[in-house]
Amino acid sequence: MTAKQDALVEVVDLIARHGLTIDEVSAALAGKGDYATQRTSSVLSRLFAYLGGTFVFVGLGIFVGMRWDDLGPAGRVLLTLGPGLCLFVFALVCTSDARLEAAATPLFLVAGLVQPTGLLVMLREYGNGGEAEHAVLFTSLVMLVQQGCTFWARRRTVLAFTTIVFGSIAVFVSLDLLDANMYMTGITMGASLLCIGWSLDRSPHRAIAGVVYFFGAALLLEETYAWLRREPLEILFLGLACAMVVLATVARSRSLLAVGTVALIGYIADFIYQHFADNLGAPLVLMAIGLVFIGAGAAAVRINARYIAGH
Amino acid sequence: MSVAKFVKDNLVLVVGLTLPVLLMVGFLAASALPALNDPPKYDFVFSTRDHPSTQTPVDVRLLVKDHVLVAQYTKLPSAPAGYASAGWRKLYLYDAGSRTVRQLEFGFPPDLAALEGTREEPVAAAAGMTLDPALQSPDGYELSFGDRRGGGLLLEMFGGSRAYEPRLRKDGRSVPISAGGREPFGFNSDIEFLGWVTAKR
Repeated sequence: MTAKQDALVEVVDLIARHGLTIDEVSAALAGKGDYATQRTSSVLSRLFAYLGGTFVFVGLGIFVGMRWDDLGPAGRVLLTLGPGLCLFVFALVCTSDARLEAAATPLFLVAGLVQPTGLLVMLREYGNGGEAEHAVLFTSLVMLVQQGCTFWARRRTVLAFTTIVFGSIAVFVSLDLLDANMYMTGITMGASLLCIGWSLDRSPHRAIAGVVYFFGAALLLEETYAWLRREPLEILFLGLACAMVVLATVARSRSLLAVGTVALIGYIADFIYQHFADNLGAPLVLMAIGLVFIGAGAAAVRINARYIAGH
Repeated sequence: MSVAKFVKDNLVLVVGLTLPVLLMVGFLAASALPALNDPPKYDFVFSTRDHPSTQTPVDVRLLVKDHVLVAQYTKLPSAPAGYASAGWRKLYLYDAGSRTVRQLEFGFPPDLAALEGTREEPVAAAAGMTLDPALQSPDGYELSFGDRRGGGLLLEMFGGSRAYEPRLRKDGRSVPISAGGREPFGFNSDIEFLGWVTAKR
């Protein structure tokens, strides 16, 4: 499939997912109507919103840092959890007003950073001892419920992202507290993130599918390799890395392809160093096999185009 | 939308969300099975480095002699020609029954200033204990550090220090030694195993 055909498949997919009509697409392509104005103002407002959010966040951080030692427990909580909640409420208000909508994403992100910090400060100031893991679990669960419910109500992609982040932290800390096997934890979380990425890829929240795919595949492959390395079943990792490349072509994901390819290259290099460290013939044979693969792939595409796809 | 229709339309998402929950349920069930458990039965004594606010002219070493915990005090050359003490030791007892750690009393000897050369004396806080300095307990457990393998990228992403905490290990079983978060006993390299409590007088 050429790059042009690839792009066409993506365009059709996007039109179907967002329920666009041919007239709307044609008007946008011709640069008519509200499209041109909307595009310029959207970029500008988003730029200012991100810059504003960054300045507010950095300013607040410096102010809190300068006054930290002079503050009592209540002051510390008010200065961290307070702005976090305010930012969250402000972001919610922004989603209900079309003129302020572009500011909602950075505000949700900053609120997603400040609120858990405030919760942890509150637990530290008013908590009664206990392990740090319990505090992190409590904070991530509170944030998971808040972000998940808001995502359910507002359907914003940024909230899907924060929900996944806090959900992952809650799952990891819970399994850590349960003394779960770390390999199994990593493999399960990797597979889970891949499934979530697959669903995101087929939803209006496709923008974050690549990140979720990347971390899911990286976790799954890294933990599998760490578990199987130098064991009799080590060869299974090669199958899993190949499966990841196949999944990348099915899901049309560059993140998966990158992770799968790096895993394959890493495994082959490690295998050669392990078994043929002093044999120069091995890399040459590998190059020859690689060329045969490339030739076979090209032949398969030609056969598919000439004898299968046309019929 | 009914639940069945939601599951049918979002089967991959449901599988993705269910996987970690199933793993949690599995580990919860495994930890609740008493028949498969073989908890450690023996208490043990260990020490960690302590850094008192005032420098001491005496160095201390804890060791088990004839099944009794002994403190070996050595007078250090006086400053500025000599070295200051490398610090004191904190003494702990791991209680296998309650799976908790408590600190044992171990302060400076009363005649600290008058001490000369090297002197040994039993530790009063462990006076009633018969200690076995063997690395493996009579029921087969051994103190180890960082044996919770795996989690490389996970720990990079989410942090966490439990993978490196001291644990009692026997075959596939691994029991964390926790002080309940109230009394952190420092870095792993500081922990010095002293002996298993095989009897109490």
